[in-house]
This record gives sequence, structure tokens and C-alpha cells, in this order.
Amino acid sequence: MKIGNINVKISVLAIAVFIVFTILLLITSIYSPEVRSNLIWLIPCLFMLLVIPIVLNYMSRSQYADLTPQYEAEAKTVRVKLVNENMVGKPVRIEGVVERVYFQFLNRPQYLIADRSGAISVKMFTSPEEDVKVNDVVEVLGQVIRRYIVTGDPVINCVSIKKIKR
Amino acid sequence: MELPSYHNKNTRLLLEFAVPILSFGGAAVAILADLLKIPLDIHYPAFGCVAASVILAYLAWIRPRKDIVAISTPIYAILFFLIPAEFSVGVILMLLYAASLTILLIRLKRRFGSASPVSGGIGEGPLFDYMTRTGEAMESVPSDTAADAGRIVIRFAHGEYEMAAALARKYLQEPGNDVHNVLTTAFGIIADHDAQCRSAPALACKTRHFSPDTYPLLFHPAPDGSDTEQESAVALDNALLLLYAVAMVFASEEQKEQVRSFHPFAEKLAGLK
Repeated sequence: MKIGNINVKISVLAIAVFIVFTILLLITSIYSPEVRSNLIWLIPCLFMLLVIPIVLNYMSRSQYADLTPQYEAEAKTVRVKLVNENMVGKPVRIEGVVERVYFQFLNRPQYLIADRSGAISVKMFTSPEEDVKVNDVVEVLGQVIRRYIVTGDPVINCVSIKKIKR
Repeated sequence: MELPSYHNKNTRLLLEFAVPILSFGGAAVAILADLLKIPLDIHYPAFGCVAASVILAYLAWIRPRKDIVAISTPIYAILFFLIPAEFSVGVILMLLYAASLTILLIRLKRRFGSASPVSGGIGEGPLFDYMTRTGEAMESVPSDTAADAGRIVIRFAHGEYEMAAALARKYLQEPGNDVHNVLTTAFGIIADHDAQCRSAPALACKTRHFSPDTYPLLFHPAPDGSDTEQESAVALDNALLLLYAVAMVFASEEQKEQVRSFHPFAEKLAGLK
């Protein structure tokens, strides 16, 4: 779904929650007259289960889209090997192959990106602009952070991930 | 300089054994008390599970890569065994919990590696050998040059490539530093690197390279000439490692102290982490 220039995606989990509650509402409204009398506000509430994730995704996607040009201008191209804990907070650009993709169904994907010098986790806190799959060659723009905010190995908080042709 | 402590290794090994022993031991005590009809509050043997959780969390915490699941086990132990709840604590719960802790311990050891770094410290390992070799081969490097080398390594580790390049250019422009040797080549590679980073996304640009007669002074062997990108990457790693070694051998004590804290970065460049 596209709102303005932003490609909004709803996670599988949000859809699953909507479906489960729709089924529950249908069943209970068949058997309970009390529920039927409250359908006037229960149905809008049910749709809020879809609307809220869509709005949140739109907001985060538009925020990330605004940040991308800034990162494109400031980020330095680095090899994975050079990313270290002293670079926390620095914008970086890396290029590599996607080795693994996790948590895509939550709209919070995490990638393992490898170049010839090593591999690094790339975390994204919203859905990417385009679907990125294992073995895609990508360019990542982001900021170096620690895996668990204050501790852990350096990872990249991804602002933009784009497939590139090599 | 840290040296590997066998005492620490033994302590860790004992702690690893303590996780299943304490947790299953607690359950065994509860079973025995039940069989022998000894009146014993089940919360006392359950302390074995709590203690095992704390030890597991400690073992997870001291690893370079933290396992958040293992670290959070004491919370579950307190919730299950110490805080009064609607469900009753029983032997089954203790046995299941002990089995979970043992699985988590195995997972911790297999997926999160050893608690000790690859090399015991700065005072041993291939990087230390390289520093020693560099010190012997270069005989004497002025402390100002070594200080410049140290500053460049620090700036580079922070991702401040312009600053590192500016320091390298400043060094090369100083009178007397225009002699072609392994150190000026290393400074030259750093000076060129920033320009390569700006020309994103291409990393493979023409880079200065070390001459074959300087290869014995380099950490990584030079790759064959057919792969320019790899050649440039190895040249940069070698340049940084050489500057690190020079700083660690020839710089003032104060400067060495500053550069020493970037040893993990040097280990990463050396491929030891």
C-alpha cells in the first residue's frame, strides 16, 4: 500500500492478530446478544488493530526516508572489518551480500551482511523500502550501535538498505 | 600486560560444571527428602536452581558476545522458586528447570564461544610476535613518528578517516619524511584511504602498495596481484597494523597506554577476533 511516496507494509503478525480477533468476534457475536449489542464500537476497535500498525509503519518509514539523504551525504564507505566499538554513533555505508534474514514477519528485519572482510548484523526498526532476500547484494546506510544499546558487539542500525547490481 | 590465567580457566570450568550439578542436585535433594519422608520445605533445594541460574548468567555476561537468554535466567528462577505464586513448586518443575539450564549452558558454549579472547592479552599471540619483530627490524623510530602513528590508529579506529588522512599527510609533508620506506608507504596508504571512502560506493581504487622488499615487515602476506580490491584492503590492514606496532614499540609510555586500549581493533585487523 502506498501513502504519498511512502510504501507502507503491514506485518504478517498484525494481520494474524486481526484475523484471530475477527474470528473471535464473529463466534462470540453469534452466541452472545450482549456482544451483538456492542458491535457498533467493537468493529471499529477491530479495524484499529490494522490501522494502528499501518499508521506506525507510515510514520517510521517517512522518518527513515527523511534521514536517508542525510546519511547518503555523511556516511563513509567502510569494510565490515573496520567497524568496531569506537565507531558507535558514526554513520557508515557498507556493501555486501545478505547471508541471513531474520524477523521479517515482524516488520523489524535483521540481516547478516557479509563482505570479503567479515560479516555484521544489520538491524532495521521498520520495514525496508524493497524486499531484501538472502544472496542479494546490498548497500546499507546506517549508524554503528551496540547490539544491546549499552553493551554487546557493534552492529548497524539500518536507515536504508538497497539492492545493488554488481 | 595480561597473561592467561590457568586459575581463571579452572574457575570457569568449575562454574560450568556447577550449573547442572547445583540445579539437578537441588532436585535430587528434594526427591531424596520425599523418598525418606524427611519434612523439608521445597524452597530450600530450589535454591540450587536459583544459584545455577546466577552462575549461568555470570558465564554469559563474561563472554564477548552476550547471550540475553542466559543472562535473564535469574529473573525466571526468582519468579519460579522464590516469589510466592499460585502454582506450587514441585520436583517436576525443578527437573524441567535444571534441564533447561543445562541446554542453555550447552547453547552458550556452542553458539557464544569461549569466555576468553582468542589471544590471552597483549603480551602474547601473533600480534605480540609481530610487534616484537617490528621493533627488532626497525631498530629505532623517533618517538614523534611513533606518536603520529599512534594518533592515526586512534583516529582511524574511531572512523575519523579525514583526521587520520590529514595527520598522515602532515607527516609526509614534513622535511626528511619524504624518503621512500615501509613507514612512509604506510602513512601514504592512510592518506589515500579517505579519498577512497568519499568516492562511494567504489572501494577499489588505485592504492599505494608496499614494495616486495618490505613484505617481511608486514603482518599479512600480500595477495596475488590479480585482485585489486583485495590487494588494497590487505595493504590498508598492513599499514594500520604496522603503525600500531610502531606506536606500541617506540612511542612514549603515555602514548602507548592510549594506543593499547585499541588492541581489540588491531586484533580485528589482524583477523584474530
